[in-house]
Amino acid sequence: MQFLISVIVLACAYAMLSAGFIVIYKSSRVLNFGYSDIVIMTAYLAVTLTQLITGPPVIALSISVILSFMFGLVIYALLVKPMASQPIFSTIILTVALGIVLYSAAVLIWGGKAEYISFGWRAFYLLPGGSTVASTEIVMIVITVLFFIALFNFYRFSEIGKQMRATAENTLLASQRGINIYFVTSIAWGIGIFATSVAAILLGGNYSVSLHMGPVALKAFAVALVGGLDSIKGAIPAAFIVAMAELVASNYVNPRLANAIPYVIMIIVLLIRPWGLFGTKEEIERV
Amino acid sequence: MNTKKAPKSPYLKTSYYKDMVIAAFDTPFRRKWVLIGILILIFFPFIANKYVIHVANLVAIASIGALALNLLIGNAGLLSLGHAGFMASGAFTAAIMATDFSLPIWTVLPTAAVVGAILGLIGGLPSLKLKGMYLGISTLGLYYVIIYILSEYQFHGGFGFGITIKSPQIGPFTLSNEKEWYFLLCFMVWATALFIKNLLRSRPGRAWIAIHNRDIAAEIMGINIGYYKVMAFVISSSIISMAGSIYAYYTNVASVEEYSFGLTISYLAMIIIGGLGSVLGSIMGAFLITVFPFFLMNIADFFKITGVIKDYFFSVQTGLFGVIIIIFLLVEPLGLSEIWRRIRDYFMLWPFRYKPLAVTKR
Amino acid sequence: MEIENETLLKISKLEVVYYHVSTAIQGVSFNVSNGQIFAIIGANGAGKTTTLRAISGFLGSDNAYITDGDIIFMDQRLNGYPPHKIAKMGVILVPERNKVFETLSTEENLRILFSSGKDQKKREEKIYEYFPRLQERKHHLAGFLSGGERQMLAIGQALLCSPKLLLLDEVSMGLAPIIVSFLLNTLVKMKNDLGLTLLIVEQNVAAALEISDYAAVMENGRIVFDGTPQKLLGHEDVREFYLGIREMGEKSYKDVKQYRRTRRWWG
Repeated sequence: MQFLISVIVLACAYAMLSAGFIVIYKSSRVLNFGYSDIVIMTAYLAVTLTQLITGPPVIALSISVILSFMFGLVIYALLVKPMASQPIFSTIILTVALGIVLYSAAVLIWGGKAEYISFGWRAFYLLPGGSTVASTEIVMIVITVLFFIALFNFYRFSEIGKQMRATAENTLLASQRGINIYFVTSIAWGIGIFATSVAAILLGGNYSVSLHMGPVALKAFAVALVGGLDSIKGAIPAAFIVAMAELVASNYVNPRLANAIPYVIMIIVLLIRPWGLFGTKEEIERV
Repeated sequence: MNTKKAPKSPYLKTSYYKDMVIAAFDTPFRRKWVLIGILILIFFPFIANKYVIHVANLVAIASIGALALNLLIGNAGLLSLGHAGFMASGAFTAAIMATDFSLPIWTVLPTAAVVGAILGLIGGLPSLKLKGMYLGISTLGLYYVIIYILSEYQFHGGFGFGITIKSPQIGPFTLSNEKEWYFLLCFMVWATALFIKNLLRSRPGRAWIAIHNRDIAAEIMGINIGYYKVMAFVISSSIISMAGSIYAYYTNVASVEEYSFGLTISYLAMIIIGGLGSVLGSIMGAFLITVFPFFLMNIADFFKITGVIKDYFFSVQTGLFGVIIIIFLLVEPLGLSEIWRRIRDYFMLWPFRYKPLAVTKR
Repeated sequence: MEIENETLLKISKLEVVYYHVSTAIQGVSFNVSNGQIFAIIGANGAGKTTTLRAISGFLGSDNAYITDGDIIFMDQRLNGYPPHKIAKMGVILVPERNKVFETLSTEENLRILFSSGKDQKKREEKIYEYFPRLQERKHHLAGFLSGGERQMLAIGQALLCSPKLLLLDEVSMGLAPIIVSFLLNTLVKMKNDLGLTLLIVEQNVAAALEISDYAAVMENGRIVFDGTPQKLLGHEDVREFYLGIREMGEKSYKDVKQYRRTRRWWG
């Protein structure tokens, strides 16, 4: 039972992390390789805000995620938009460079100390069967579920979801059909960074905030790949698969192997079904 | 009709042989400047200090890697994110062969090339099925596997922070001097660049351009795209592997930490900033990316920045590096070779601004 | 056919440069009146597509810039506007390549701007009326449609953006003659039903001259001749070079003095 809870918690963490990645890919076809650095940055930002702002941490955290949303808009306006006509590859390198800048900034500002985020509610609950669940873990599960429901409905019941896909596929045509590509894509980046920030905060509350959060974010990439790089609903089963595999390997085989598991799964997926569980087949080949 | 005999234009090729000469050497004007460049390169180490020559050597090694990578990514259009792994394998091949078996360098280099080729073959196989980003991700997977294996070897073999390698011996000479390395490396860069340039001008090169552009059309035309895609990987990774072993010989150490994902990124930055698909661009990009950190460090000393800032300077430097790459990409996404092209076109068209429309003559 | 004489689109001395170096079109000027079908004909590389892309704002992605001249649509200068703004003003382009969203289905393609509302349903119905074939292929991915169906979808999608001026780039390319005539006739029908103005670029000169009210010939980035279809059809050189009708004996390209003499330069 305890094992199941750990799987659920880890799966939520992975799903939440991959959401930010997927939203950005869905609208710009950009693989945000600076992702781990953005996680670090937003996490540290939340830490500082909770320390500066008095009152229940919820306020500080809410401000933190809103700021992250705006940060996403800024990233789009300054970095992604000017590169709209270049091959996607250049934009990806740009995200890496951005990641480098953010990482250095994080080191400069916060000095690489590990910090903790408090949600203002510390408790442990005893479940029938003898296993425990921490308040932070409950928060993570609840927020992840709510977030995914909201995101999924956002894409389903608004045209923006379709428009985002269209923009990602053929930006020029989308623009010529009256879709304001700047608006659509900047919203996507805003949501993406917002999601990243939420994930970073949840991680920070459950584990810690440090410069070593990076590799975790990379696993989110593997999760996104398994579920389909542009599929929101694919992230959840993928997160479960990866979390389950990793914890099984960690508990029953060899803890060091657990770190490699997400990558192994990634390679398997690539060999069998590159577009993941629910992703769209990007290249429809027709001569 | 009176026509004067036109003066011999250097752009007029009168034989197939003359037509085949590489663009850099085909007119007297260009040949003059190439000669001047060669002379500068030859006399440079005698007037510069050790530190500068060391940086030049690093630029040379990076150029070799960048040239090979540009072949794969820029010309053949196959995204590969695993080159740090190939370099590492070359380095460790050198380490094992030179240290454990005391084999001389001219056995090690070809072996490193073969090792790289085999790994390239493995890394290239997914390209038969995958395209674009997904191919890049699969090479990333290969990178992690290679690094994992090598790091296990390094740590469990008791090597701690790296395997030390003695400086290589060529005949009676031991290469331990920066200057000696410089000449060897210059030659190697030149050889690599020539090899790749000629490869691009021949059948594989044309095949890669076709595949890069539209591989379905290439296949229909009769080009065996699987064969050429894997060939690109094999050639590229064997050269990169050799570059890795040379790097290990030069720095006298082979250590897994050197070959991080960051190294992959810096090579990618080299070819993107230099210009994808351009031989000259690879060298220019390698120069810029390698020199820049040293440049920044010297700025710090120059302005006598002391105290707290200096402690943090490494992060500032890395951060600035990222900023510079960002600015560069925003300003000229096609890289240095595009800037060079525009400069050349400017002088060629001057005093006109643009190439004129075709005009039918009477 | 009532042709109002109000000028909808005025192009004057348009110049487009690629890669900061090569001039693609220069000194291009023409006017399109409201309700007209205006055709631009010419061989490959003449600059017709560049002109259309300049008008619709499509240029930026190809390292191309408008370096001179004006595009005036309904008294508003369009130079430099982003494509979606131009589209909102009512200038819609059906491009030559990449004309539909391939990973979306036919239905999703048509619903790209709005997916609900009574008005939308009615307008979708209308499109299916014009192109019954699309109804059959409603749920198929657009990437798998045949050439003719794709063109129908592209035109239908363009119509749903409420265009005032519809720009069509090589509608007939790669299609069987029977589909070409179907498409062109449907276009004329749409124009009359919805009060559109059409600016078509065509290499199929016969078909283009059949439906258009006015036409211009582009060569090497310039407009070299324009007039009503009758005038063009009557011109010996248009007949020879674009319709393949050779009058008397063999003519060498060097002898075509007549064409050059009657060539008029605009702008």
